[in-house]
Amino acid sequence: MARLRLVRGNTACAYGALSAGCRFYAGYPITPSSEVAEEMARLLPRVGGVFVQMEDEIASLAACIGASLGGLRSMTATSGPGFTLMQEHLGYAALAEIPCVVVDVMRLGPSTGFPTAPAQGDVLQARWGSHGDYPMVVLAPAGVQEVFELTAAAFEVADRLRTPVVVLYDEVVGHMMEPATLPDLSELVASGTWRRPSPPVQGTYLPYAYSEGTPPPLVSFGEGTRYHITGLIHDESGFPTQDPGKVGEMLRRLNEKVPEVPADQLHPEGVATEDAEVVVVAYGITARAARAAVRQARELGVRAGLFRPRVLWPSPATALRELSGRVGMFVVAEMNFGQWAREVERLVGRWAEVVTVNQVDGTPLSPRTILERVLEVSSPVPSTAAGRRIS
Amino acid sequence: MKRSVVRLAGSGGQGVVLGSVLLAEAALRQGKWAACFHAFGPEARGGAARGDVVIADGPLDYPVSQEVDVLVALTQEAAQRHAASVRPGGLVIADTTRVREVPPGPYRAWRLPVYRSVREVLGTEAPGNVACLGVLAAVTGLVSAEALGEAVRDRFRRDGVAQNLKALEVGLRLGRELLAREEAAG
Repeated sequence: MARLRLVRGNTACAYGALSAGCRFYAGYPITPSSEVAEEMARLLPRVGGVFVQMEDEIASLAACIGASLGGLRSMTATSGPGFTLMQEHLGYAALAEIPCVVVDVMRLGPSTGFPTAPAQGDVLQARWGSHGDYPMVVLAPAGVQEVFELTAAAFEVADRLRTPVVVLYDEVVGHMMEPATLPDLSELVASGTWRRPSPPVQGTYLPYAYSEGTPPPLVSFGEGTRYHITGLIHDESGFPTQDPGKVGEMLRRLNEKVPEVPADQLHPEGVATEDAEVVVVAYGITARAARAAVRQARELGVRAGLFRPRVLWPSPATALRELSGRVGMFVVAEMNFGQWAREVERLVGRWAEVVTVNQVDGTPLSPRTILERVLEVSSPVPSTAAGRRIS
Repeated sequence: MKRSVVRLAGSGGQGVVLGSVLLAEAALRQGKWAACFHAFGPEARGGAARGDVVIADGPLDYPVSQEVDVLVALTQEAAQRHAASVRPGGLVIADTTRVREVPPGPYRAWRLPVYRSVREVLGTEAPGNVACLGVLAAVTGLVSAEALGEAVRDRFRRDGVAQNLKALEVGLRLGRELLAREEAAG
């Protein structure tokens, strides 16, 4: 029976993957993501899956792509330095339209950086780290239970859209333990191994013949038909093409296939935004601090709210723009120098003011720091409340 | 919402990480909400290690905490380093085995021979971390002895259960004796 227990974020990630039927993990351990690999190494053999420790992160994602083509749900987890190495194959998976899930537990960079310290510095890399124009789905859980849920959701989205999905969270979310409800191992065993249902193929299988904006279901290798996969720009058959008409059409379709909200449970969360005059925008552990800051601001008489994206990419443009119709001030709180703030500015900057509160020193942004910024930019509050401004 | 933060701080191998998990699990068993944070160096043994446990009546927006209500210090270095994080009016429990003195501050400081007592009774210091939790339960009431016992039974196997339950008793006894002494002293 699924039950409430004390769970580490990275453990919840492994359970989320297994509950979605993931039965293949290839990876190279790296702080602060290593517990994902540890849990997968421990659990996968017990549920009939395969764990491979690879020689590096490039090979890790390559193996995941191969396993996915073989019909399994596959995952790897890493942190900044490894995520950098994975960019090549992220681009490959995006272009070849092969589903897989990549977890990036963010530590302070650049380079080897500060391995045990939290940061949110991979936000733009997660979107644009590989070359060329390609779609990317990036999910951003803010707590242990949500790591479980969004990791599971990542597999559904990856399969439906035939695209790599990144689950992106910071070291604090990855390492902290808090109560979460996870399935028991017996339930995971009972759920069995997920194998991609290969559609019957009549005539020639065209792996890239879109219909209604989405690619056709993937046929697993060895399931009765042959087709071609390449990192070259290809036509509907999967073979390379240099025909500008086909090239342009293929890339347009590829870049338009991801809907703004890739699944129902991935809508952004709004807290007290109905009457808010200032809205804090935050994700990951920073969103937890922001939630506390918003609560404290309300106690001081400031009409503050919180906007928390569960999906960073594609950005929740509609929801943010809708909010900017009634909110004049956005405070984007991040453990970087304003990476997602650029996106908020792009989306609502014409209608509202966007300011930031940033901290890049290896410690998480505290509610107090966010609150101070909120009070700084909000209109004066009644004197009694103003007298209670934080000391 | 009321929150209590306990920090177990010592050296790698003393069991502060496991101790913090057991404490949080005990709190969870009592229907409370709890979160855990750990920090340690790359060494398998030695090097600074700590485990923070946040206990609250319900889910916390932001469980990370800078200020500590109770510090359990297991080495001199830990006492030195973390005493400043204890809130005014808070509590420091120091194990006399490796803590010579607790830096003075606006908190109560109690020194107890926890690890030595565990060694006397069990012939090993290994479950000293669990004994510390017993002291904590006795003097703060943050978690019950029963909940800690259940957490221990759930976590360990066979001999480990018996040994750690004995260590828990040692800690509870030390804690109760301390309270009795404090009461007698007024």
